[in-house]
Amino acid sequence: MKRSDDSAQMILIASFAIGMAIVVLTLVLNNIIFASNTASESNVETNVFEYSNSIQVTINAYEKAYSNAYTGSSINKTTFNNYIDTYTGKMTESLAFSGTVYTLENGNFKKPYFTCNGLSDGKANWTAIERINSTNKFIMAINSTTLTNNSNNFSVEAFDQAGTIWSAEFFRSGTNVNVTVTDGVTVLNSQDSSSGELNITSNLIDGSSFFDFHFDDETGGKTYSIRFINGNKASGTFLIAGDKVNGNAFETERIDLIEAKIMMNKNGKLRMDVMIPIILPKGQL
Amino acid sequence: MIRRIIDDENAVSISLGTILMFSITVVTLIVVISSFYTMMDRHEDSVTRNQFEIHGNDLALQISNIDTAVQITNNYGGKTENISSLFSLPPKIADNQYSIEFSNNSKEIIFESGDEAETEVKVSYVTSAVNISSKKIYSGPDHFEFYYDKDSNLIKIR
Repeated sequence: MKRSDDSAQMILIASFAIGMAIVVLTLVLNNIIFASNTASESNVETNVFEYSNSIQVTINAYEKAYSNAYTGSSINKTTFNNYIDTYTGKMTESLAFSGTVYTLENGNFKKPYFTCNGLSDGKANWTAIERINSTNKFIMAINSTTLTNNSNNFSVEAFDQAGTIWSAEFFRSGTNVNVTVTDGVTVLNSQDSSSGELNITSNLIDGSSFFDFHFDDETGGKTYSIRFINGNKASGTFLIAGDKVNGNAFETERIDLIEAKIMMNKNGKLRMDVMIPIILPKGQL
Repeated sequence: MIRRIIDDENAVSISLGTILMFSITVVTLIVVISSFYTMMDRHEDSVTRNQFEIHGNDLALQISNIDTAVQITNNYGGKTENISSLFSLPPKIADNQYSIEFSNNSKEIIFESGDEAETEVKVSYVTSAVNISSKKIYSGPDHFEFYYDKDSNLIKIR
């Protein structure tokens, strides 16, 4: 053997190089495979507007069902319930396509309180309508049995930026409802009402007796809002209609209250059970 | 002359040369491999952080969804009986178990893999109607659930 014979050293070096290359390749490949394997996908429910829409549509359906079942003096319960049943069926079908199970539990009619949402534990002090130009109709019927007679009596106020410009306070006087009208400071008029029925814009009490509410005198020519104070102290109905400063007409009427239980289940992952008090015939402002 | 130097193996004996060559090769190999391992380790950390960010944003979104739903219900004057949102997390990310801490004070979701501070990821969430009950959960179970507790007005995790 010659001294310069390298005994296949090139092969040795080459095999070393190949070995190194394999190691490097393995590491790099491993990294890539590892990274792509750990990248997990997410399927999170991002849309809660469907839920919001469903509530609004349900409220509208109740309002439609109510006006449909209104016979002039009372509600035909069968017509009302049939309407709601049909609505529930249609709603369930249409939402099923998006993987949502919609269930509606129909509650019973209740007498509403003068709170924001109509429930006895609702917000007691609240503004019903803002920025009114004129009020054409303001009718109330107050149930005397729930009224109190203390310093926190139920009252209705018209107020502007300067403060209260007109108010009517109601408290229990035997079986009657005492009405005390003020201009915010001084008492203008006071009387007992046996039925609790008040037509404020027509100045009538108990249906036909004249009683000056001074509402138009105090609010005429002003921009005002109407608010209810201690609404949790009285149950009853009301109707307020008129024009706002922007020229739009408004009408809100509260006769009945129904507690609708809406349950939605999306893909078995997102569940929502809520109870929405719906003021009928037209409580949503 | 040059050829004589190349062929001249008097300076180092063949056996010593082989040992030298072998040890140099081994050292080089170790250096190369360890540098690759460091690289992979860093890559593992960055993959973990990315994953945590993805999951953290998902969770923050779900929290804000529940918050929005509660707000919508409140706006209608309604009462929320139950809102719950199921979420699943991988038991291991980058082959490590991890923890998720929901902090009501800092309004953050803090992810941490093992004891490594390099993998810590904080994702902030926003709520306006409800708060979150602070809790630390550990990966492992398939499913967790956010649920709204109406008595305490808190989002809790079970």
